[in-house]
Amino acid sequence: MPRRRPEDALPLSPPMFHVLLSLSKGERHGYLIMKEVEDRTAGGVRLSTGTLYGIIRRLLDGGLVTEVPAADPRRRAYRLTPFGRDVARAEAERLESLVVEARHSRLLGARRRPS
Amino acid sequence: MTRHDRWYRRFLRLFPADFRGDFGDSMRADFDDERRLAAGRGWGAMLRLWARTLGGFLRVGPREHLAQCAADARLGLRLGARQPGTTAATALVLALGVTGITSSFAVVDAFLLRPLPFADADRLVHVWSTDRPTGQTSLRSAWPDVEAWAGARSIDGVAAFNYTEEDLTGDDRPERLNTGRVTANLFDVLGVQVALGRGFRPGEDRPGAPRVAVLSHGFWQRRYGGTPAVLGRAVSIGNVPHTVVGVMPPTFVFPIPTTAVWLPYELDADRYPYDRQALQAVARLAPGASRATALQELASITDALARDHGAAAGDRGVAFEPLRNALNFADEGFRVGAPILLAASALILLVACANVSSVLLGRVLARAREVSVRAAMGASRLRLFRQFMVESAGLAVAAIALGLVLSQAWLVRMQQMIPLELFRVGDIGLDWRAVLVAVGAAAMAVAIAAFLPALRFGRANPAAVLRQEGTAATGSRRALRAQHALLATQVTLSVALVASAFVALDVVGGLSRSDPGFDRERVLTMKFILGEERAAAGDEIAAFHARLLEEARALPGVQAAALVNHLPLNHEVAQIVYARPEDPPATDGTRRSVIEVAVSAEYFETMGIGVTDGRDFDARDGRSGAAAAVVNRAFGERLWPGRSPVGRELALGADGRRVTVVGVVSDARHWTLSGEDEPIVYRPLPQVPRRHARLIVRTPGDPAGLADAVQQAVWRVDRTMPLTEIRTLDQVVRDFLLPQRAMGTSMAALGAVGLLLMAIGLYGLLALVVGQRRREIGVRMALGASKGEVVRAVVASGLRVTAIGLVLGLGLAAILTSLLTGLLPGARLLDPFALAGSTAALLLVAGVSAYLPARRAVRVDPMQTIRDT
Repeated sequence: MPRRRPEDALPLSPPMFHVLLSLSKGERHGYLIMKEVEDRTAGGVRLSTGTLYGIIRRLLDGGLVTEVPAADPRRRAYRLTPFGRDVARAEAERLESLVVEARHSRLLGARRRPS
Repeated sequence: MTRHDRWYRRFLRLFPADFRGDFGDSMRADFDDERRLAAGRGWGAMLRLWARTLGGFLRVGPREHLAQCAADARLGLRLGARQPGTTAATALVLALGVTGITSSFAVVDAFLLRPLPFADADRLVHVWSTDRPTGQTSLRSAWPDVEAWAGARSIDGVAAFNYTEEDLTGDDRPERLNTGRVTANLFDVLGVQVALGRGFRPGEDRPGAPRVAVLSHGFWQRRYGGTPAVLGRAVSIGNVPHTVVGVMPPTFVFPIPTTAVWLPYELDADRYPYDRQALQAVARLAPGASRATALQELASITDALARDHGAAAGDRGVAFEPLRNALNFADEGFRVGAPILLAASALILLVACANVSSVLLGRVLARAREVSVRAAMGASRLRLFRQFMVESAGLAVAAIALGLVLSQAWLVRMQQMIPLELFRVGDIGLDWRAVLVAVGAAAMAVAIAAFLPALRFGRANPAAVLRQEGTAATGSRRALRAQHALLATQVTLSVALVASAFVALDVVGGLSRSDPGFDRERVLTMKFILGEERAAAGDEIAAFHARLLEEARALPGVQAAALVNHLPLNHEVAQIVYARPEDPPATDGTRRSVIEVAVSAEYFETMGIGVTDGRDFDARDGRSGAAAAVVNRAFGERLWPGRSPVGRELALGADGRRVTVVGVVSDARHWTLSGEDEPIVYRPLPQVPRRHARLIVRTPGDPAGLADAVQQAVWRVDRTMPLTEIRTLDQVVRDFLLPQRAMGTSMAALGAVGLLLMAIGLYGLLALVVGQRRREIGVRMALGASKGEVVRAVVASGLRVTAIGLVLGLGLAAILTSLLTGLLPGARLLDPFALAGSTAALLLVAGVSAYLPARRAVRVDPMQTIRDT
């Protein structure tokens, strides 16, 4: 298979990026990912099992994550592949550049106002 | 297992089985954790969890199904790309199957299926007057009858019409027009609106009314560039000035597709008396009135009128005919031909199905391990079926596209073969319905093709397959048997098709070769019409004819010249009732009719019909001469068996006019080329003058080369006379056979396609088998088998399968051809020539198809083959 560039996988949907963010800290199984995403967004993004595994299926097919044995035999755990890490980084950079752009055009102040 | 878990598992079915297999357990475990957490937070949290979970299922489940289909399709394309030759051949096979059914449908659609372009067309009927004593329908009605029917309560109006030809003159481009003579209410009865201007007004179909004309859309565009300024313009039609008042919409076709202009009749009792049945009638049934009621009411009106006219009440009857059947002259032929064409096309599609199925099976066998693993992991037959179907989606799309292109090309050809005058709705071409048929046919073919491999593997014992290594599995006996069965099916269907094609060709060939009873070589024919204002005077017509013949006969290169009102084998016929003077008065069913043809002197010589008794018409049979007739052998034999008809008297027509038979001629065909002899009575043209006539000349040289000189001769008599349908007699006969030839060509094409499909199928299968047996072949050759032995073995295995298909196919062909003989007059049952021909063609094709892959197999180095596999 020809080497793919991480940029080709962009942009990621927000839930997908959240899943990659969680996995960037290490191996996780599904439930842990859901919990982390929920905590990180203070309940703003709550993945259902169906949504989560739909995302995982696509990440597996795209070679962004890989499956690893989990402690609980019923479960499966997942780990970022180097390519997945590149994609996640590229997406973060893309988001960052968008934020910088937003600052330049004074959509955002130097400090974030409490909402 | 909790109640929640049970429900969760039920809802998981929204996902594809593969997805459930991969993630189902994890999802259940995760959901279990979520559920425990929510349970601690109360019912509200539990409800929110379920809502979120189900929402996710409904969103993601269908998406996963789609993603899987896309993956299957990509896999199909990849597998297809790996064997470009096989894939292209399969796509072509399927495309040919699609082409057959789509183009056959398009033809049938235009002629038989598309709704007539009239309002509530199912309430329209063609009304025929019948003659009860002869049991014959005249296809025409008398004006007094039509006028009386209009009062019936069970119909919403009745209109009369007929098609004829008139000359458009008055400017520098005179031309002959197909015209529709109609009553003023025709457009109302048909429920159509003019596109421009107005239709006819009540009373415009009576003598003395201003003469008006309505143009067809096509004629308006062609002749007047589509300008609205044509309204109000005066045009000379049949040497009578008419004012153009309207233009019909492009969809309006009536009564034949080439009708360019509609003119009202000039109806009154003098011109259209009770005895003259010259009008065709179309009636619209009143809402709620049944055909039976309407028929009964019209019949009683007809009876009442008959009593008024002193005719024996009950002689004249009424019959209804569906309007579409009545408008298409070749309707009977189409009703026979259409099912044959469609059935043959369906057979082709079936062959294509078997072929695609065989290729799919081959592909599946090549990755039997993967498929078996999937089956072992719980992929259902349904899932496999879907996978195979979607895998072939690319094939189907290519086949539809190619099939539509081929259909269009074929239809353009068909269009040229089918006479323009045959009534059809819309063009013979591809519309959305035809495209739908193409898509449906391809989808159905792929579904049938995907069925067999799915069945085969859904049933396989996965463990057994897994124990074997890939190549061993593909060579398994059962798999090969399935392949062979498919191939035998293809051969069976192809044999049947080819044999049917031979029968159809045999019929057409037989008709083309059959003797019409006249000499069709070296005769030129052309048509002319005397202007309407001359029609009243029989003397003028006769004088004109005499001058015309004089000029024509004086031409160098003209051996004989004559006039006739109806050319033989040209779909023109008039029947006249007859009786022998010694016969008792006719009662029900005893009155008989005969074909009547009006001819000038020298007609029989010009046509090459022999005078066997008595004499030809001559100067004695002019306007003032005694009423004379010539009968053909068949008619003479019917009238006075075993005795000479010459000098005997005959009563002709409803008024029983006495004529004397002056001669007998040999039998010649007039209406059909097959079937029983046709009795014909010939009348001298001066005694029965006709406005419409054909000039025919015989020459020792090339008849077509004489056309200019003959036209000049006619123009010396009348400088403005348009001449049309300038054809050799041979061409007339060939035109007559157009529908049969079109049918024969179609069947031949379908037979050839069947043969081609079989060849591709056989080649594909043997290539696969040889591929699978490469190792065995290598071993054999390493052990000393010669190349020839190996090739013979492979070809023999192909021929064995072909032979089985051949035997079955001949059985099927016997059934099909016996059906054909019932439908096609002149078809011979199981013609030995057809059988030998199709068998030989098939064996030859099968031999070549088997030889090619075999040769390829023995070309490689045996040791290499063994090492590779």
